[in-house]
Amino acid sequence: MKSLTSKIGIVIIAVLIIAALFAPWIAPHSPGEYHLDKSFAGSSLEYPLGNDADGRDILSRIIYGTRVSLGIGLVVVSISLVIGCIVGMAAGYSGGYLDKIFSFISDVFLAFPGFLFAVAVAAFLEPSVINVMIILSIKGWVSFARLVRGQTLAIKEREFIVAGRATGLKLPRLFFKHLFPNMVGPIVVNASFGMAGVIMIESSLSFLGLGVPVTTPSWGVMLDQGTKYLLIAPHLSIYPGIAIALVVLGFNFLGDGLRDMLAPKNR
Amino acid sequence: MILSYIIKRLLSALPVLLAVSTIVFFLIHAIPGDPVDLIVGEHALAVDRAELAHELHLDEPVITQYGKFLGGLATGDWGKSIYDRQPVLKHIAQRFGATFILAVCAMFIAVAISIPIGIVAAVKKGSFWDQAAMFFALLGISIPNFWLGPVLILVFSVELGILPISGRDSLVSLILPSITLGAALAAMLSRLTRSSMIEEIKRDYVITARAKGLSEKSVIFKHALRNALNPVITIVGLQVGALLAGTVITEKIFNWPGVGMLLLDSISRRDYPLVQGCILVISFAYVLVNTVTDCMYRVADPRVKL
Repeated sequence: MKSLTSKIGIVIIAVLIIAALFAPWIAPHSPGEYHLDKSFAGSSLEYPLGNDADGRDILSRIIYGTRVSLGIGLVVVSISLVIGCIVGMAAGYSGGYLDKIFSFISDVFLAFPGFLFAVAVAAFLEPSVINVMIILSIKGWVSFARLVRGQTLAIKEREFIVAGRATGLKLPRLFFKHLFPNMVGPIVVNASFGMAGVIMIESSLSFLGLGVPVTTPSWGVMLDQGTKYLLIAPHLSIYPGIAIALVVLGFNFLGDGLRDMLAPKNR
Repeated sequence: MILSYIIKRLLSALPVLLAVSTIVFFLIHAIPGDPVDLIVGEHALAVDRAELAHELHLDEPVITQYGKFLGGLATGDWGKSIYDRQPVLKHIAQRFGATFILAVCAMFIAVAISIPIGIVAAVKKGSFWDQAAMFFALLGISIPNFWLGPVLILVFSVELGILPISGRDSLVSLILPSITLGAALAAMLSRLTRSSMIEEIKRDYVITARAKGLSEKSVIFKHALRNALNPVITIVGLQVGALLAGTVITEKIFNWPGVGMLLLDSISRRDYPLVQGCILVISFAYVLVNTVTDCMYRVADPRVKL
């Protein structure tokens, strides 16, 4: 990847992954530590990004927040990827009724804007990390399945697949040893944009109070709590927002870079 | 022929609407626990519980409930709000206008900003302006609107004091919510216009147009742009859904009295008939807009077979 933006993307993501993995060592304070005498305090040496309404250290909460965002993103994208690949290959390879049923289901899912769908399901469930993962996966697999189906349709008539079928390869082997490796590129691009999308929807849900529980140090929750004090302490909302924008930007940059690398003519 | 296509296309949206309604219906019935408990609490009187269960048809078999639900949808009886016993559709009708205006303004701002930017970036491809525009476009896609909104309030309402913080008193109070809602779409459409224009500029007819001595202005605006806008129109239609869903957040930030606020209020009051109504009305609007854009697209581009 040559472009500057994709390099910036990789750096941002690397920094965030390190922050998530080593949060307890990097964070200067515990994310749940109350210092009521420090409510709404601005930046100081001890608390570089200041303190929130309960005097908790904003920097530490943002560092721990990477775990929530990246963790949910990774789980949801992995689940969506696995389900999407299996369904997409099956639909594209077999054609016929299976494909028609899949196409209808994906049309219906697309008839729901992703975020509204998440709000609709979340409205009826208790806020929890697991529920957020389930909600986002219910719709997440569709975009992977559509992509994989299209790729399968394009590849399945090529000689090596026909030859594989002729030599009597079993379907799972044909799918994962021969079909799958030929579509890894677009899938990885989709996964990168998928991470950006999932992280954005998770924080939006949490901002509305429909995502992770309010005690979790999540960026969306921090923003929700922060905007209540927007006029007296804007730093409560500014920093978590920058964190969300950075991680989403990172994955979008990476996705753009990967796509250009795979299809240089569109650059 | 065009008319019969439009009718056919509208009819084909019906199964999708039916499926969407079915999903919303079963979503509510898949909630773990008794909905009556969720609404009135476990300690309510048995009489009240039975009355509520009867009113929501919860004392009947699920399949009968489903039949009544679909029948109600078709005949305009979307149930009653548990909170104030008013018909769901009446609540929605009171709020829909505010959401509609917000969405239209956001869409207008997005299109007005993005298409000129996309054209300039494509014509000056690789230049500083192109790179700067595309950097800001990617930034625009990545900034959450629930951050952009508060920041706009801080800058324009608190620091500069030129625009109202919230509410819906005058046209001026539309400005910040529309920008908040439309920014991501503007960013996305600039990227799309740019790539679509770059594709078109490379084509033979553009070379021909230039060869026969047309001015650059005429080549770009009369020839390339008209073809480049087709995919943009399609995406605008598809993105109306994201825009309508985004109103939930924008309305919360700016205290805008639309369907999004109604949805959030109903969720916190556990007013499930109203929650269901809000979700259905937004989804229906989305399906309808997509169908209409699809028709427009095909009418505008005679090459597409009807």
